[in-house]
Amino acid sequence: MTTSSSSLVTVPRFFLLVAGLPLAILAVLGACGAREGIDVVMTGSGSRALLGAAWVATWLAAVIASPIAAGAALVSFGLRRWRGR
Amino acid sequence: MNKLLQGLLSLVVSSCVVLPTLHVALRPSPARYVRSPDGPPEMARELAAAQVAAWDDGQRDVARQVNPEWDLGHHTFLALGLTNLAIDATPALRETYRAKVDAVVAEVRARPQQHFHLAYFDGAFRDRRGRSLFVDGEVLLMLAGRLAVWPDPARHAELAGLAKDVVGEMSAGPVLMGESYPNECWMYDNTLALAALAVTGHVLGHAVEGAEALTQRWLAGAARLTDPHTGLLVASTTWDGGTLDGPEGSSAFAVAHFLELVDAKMAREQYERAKERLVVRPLGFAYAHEWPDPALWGKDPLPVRAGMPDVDSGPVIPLVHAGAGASGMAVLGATAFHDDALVAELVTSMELAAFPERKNGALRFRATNGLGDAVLLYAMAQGPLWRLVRAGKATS
Repeated sequence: MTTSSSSLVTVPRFFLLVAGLPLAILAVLGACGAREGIDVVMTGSGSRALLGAAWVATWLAAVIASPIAAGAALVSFGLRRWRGR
Repeated sequence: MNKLLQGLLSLVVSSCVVLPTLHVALRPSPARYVRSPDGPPEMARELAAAQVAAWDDGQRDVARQVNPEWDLGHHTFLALGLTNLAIDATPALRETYRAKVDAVVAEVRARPQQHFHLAYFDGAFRDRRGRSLFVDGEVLLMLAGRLAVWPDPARHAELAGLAKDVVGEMSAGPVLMGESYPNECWMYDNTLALAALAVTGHVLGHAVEGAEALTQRWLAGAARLTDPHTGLLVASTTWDGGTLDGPEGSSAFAVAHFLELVDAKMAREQYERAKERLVVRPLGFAYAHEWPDPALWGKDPLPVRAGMPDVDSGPVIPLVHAGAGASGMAVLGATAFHDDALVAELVTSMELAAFPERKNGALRFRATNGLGDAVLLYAMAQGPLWRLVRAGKATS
């Protein structure tokens, strides 16, 4: 029972981690000034373009994947509660 | 229920809720992108503020090393955007915009035509004049717009002279398509030139000599410049009318807008066809393809340069085939034809993927360059000048 219960808990935790990861990376990239590199992604090359591309990819992940993962955490938590009744 | 099954079920349920509602979180209020009876949308003013400040700082930000044509496009859309905004502006702002428009036009006219072209401009034109309709048409439209909003009869002779050149360049071609490069005629440039002649006629108070006949003949022959598989005008032809580039998103929406002053019915048809063939609208977002689906050609051969990204198309995002140039021009088409639902979806996509940066009432999009911002400024500001011309009344 203990094993089953703790294994259920890991699913929402996993999704919360997935939801938070892009936000954390975004914060780090922001501190590195990666957002300033977006301008050169379209036409440039070099370290600024690389940072800018990383910002674009992480931003899209944060906007699209993070809410889905957060929602999945909520759903899996609900499932756990439902299973626990 | 094992962990994997629970995880998958959670993911599916969450995706079914989040993906269809994501656009709600990103969509700005309609006041930001829809013109009200009182004036232009907020985005137009914010984009203008950023671009006027950039101009004053000497920034042109158009990556001339990639494509010098962007430099002219930036100048033209900036001038036309400010010209449209001036019609509803306060007297002080109106004067500021006039000074900027004059500076933009003067800067273009101070340059040789080659300055705004790729290297292959230096070839042998079929027309003995050897001039670019790209440059001559855009200069004419900028100056005619300027004189429509800030009348100055002393400059009418200068305007009429430019218009005469444009009529000559188009009339010389066997299919009435003027060249912008040697043996290369662009639909964008030719329809823009026809619109410029209409604005010029409004300013002068009479049609430019030869312009009405040219326009009627051009419209009568438009069918031979139309791709039969899509019903869209092709993007470029040889001087003799052979198709080089088939329909393109970076051209089709602007062409429809320019045709509004020439043949409103044809313009609307071109816009609707471009929307049908090029626009994709997933989950409350929208973007445009650069090229129509090749399947429309069936077993017929595709246009000579089909599916070849170039400096006009801008980058095309793989997998979804979203064209940066096509999507920007789709905003112009949607605003010009009052397609508010599509404008909303395109603007929502820009909030997601064009990286807007707002500072002190000024707006720019980091994922584009000066030309992209200028196109969006014009898309949001356009309307008043075209209405002025259609109503046939002068402002003072």
